[in-house]
Amino acid sequence: MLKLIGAVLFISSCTVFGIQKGMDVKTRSKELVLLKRVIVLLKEEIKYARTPLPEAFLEISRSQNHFFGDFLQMLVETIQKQPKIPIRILWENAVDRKLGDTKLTKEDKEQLKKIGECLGCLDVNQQQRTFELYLERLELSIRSLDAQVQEKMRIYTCLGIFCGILVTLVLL
Amino acid sequence: MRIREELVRIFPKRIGRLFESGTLDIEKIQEIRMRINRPLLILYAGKERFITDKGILSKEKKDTYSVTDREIAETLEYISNYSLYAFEEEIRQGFLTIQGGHRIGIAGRVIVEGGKIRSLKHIFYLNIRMAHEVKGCADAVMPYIVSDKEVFHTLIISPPGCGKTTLLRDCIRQISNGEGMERGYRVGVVDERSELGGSYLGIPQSDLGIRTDLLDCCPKAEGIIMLLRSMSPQVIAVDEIGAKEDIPALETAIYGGCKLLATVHGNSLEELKKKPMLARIFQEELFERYVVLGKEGRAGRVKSVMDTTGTVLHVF
Repeated sequence: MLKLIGAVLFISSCTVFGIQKGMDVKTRSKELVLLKRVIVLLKEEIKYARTPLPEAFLEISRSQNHFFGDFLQMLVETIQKQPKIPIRILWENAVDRKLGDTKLTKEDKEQLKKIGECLGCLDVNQQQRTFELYLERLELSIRSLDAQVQEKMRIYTCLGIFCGILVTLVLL
Repeated sequence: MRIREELVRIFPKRIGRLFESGTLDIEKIQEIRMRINRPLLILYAGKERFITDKGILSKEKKDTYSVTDREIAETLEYISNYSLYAFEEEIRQGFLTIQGGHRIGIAGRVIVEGGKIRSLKHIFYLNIRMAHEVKGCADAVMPYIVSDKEVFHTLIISPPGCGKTTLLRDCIRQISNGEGMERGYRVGVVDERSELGGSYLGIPQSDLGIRTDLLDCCPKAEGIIMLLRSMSPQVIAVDEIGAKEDIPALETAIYGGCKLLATVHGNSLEELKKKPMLARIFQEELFERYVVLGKEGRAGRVKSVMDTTGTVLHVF
């Protein structure tokens, strides 16, 4: 009886783990959409209003009630302390410290960090091109994820169930 | 203390520390020159000095602090609050003004489009000109440029770096406030290079008096006409006249009933009279007072005050 209960519990755990992994793919897709929105807002603030970065970060952070709002808020607070650190490094540090709890992959974060290299530079066109390139890549990632999300969720769920059953059978 | 903080804030850590150390009298710093892979140079109390790694002024080039490209790039980031693009227009003109009214001159590779300067890139030369407000520095000349009933059209003649802008700023403040006079005057200032008001985000960082209206970053000739139309000034003040289009604008102001305060680069009245561009000023006797500054002794020393015919009224 105990073995049976254990087996059921183990298979259930593996199934939940599989479902969770599937949900992570969906969450990542949603986070990439939110990130895209933030980058578009930042791009427009720079292009049309020539808003200085700290002001643009603050404005956008107020309208974005999620991870990326907090990420920009953190940047504003850091800049206000006048840390004498180039914006490229401040941006990278903020990505590492504030986006750790997101479902973004290491590659997603590395790409986001690259934006910091052109932030604040004199050549607005160069900045805009960097934003556009990043947004295109983001769009591709989102589309690819959206196309796979249902399939991946199903695969992860099935894998969870089958792994649970397989391990249980081996153990029994 | 305030100036030290303003100065330290704009430099990368290593350079900031040189000024933080307290061995330098910040009030005496007039200019700081940063050039890529060249020594950091300071114009200190009118004399050019190197600065050592320990923040000590030196006449010798030995052990001097050398500026790197990264430090110039970082300084630009801090000056612009990480947003150099927001100062595109100022950079096109070759300078930007920061909090405290200090002016940062920049040079590098110029990008020209259709014969006009579009922008600058590879900015590797910076000149930080410290704003110095010396209240009361015009006390000695005020009795000669203001009478009980009126302000005289006055031209301040000075070689570069001798304090003509500082003197003009104090004249504006005193005339605007009516200090030592029966009343104050409405003063309109056309501050083409943000030197008089040192405006940062539109707010003058220097005290220009209570009755002063300021046109910041505005070409002089157009600014004078704008002020005449919009603010009905009694006195108009402009810095560094000399362009062809300045003279008709000055005439318009005078014929419009305004009094003029202006400065011009030059060593003496005689020298200026020989300059074809300025000859009309003297032919038409536009100015009633000439204040001549000199470098002898110390910067900002008033040498003499003359009337419209060039007769010396007072030698200092």
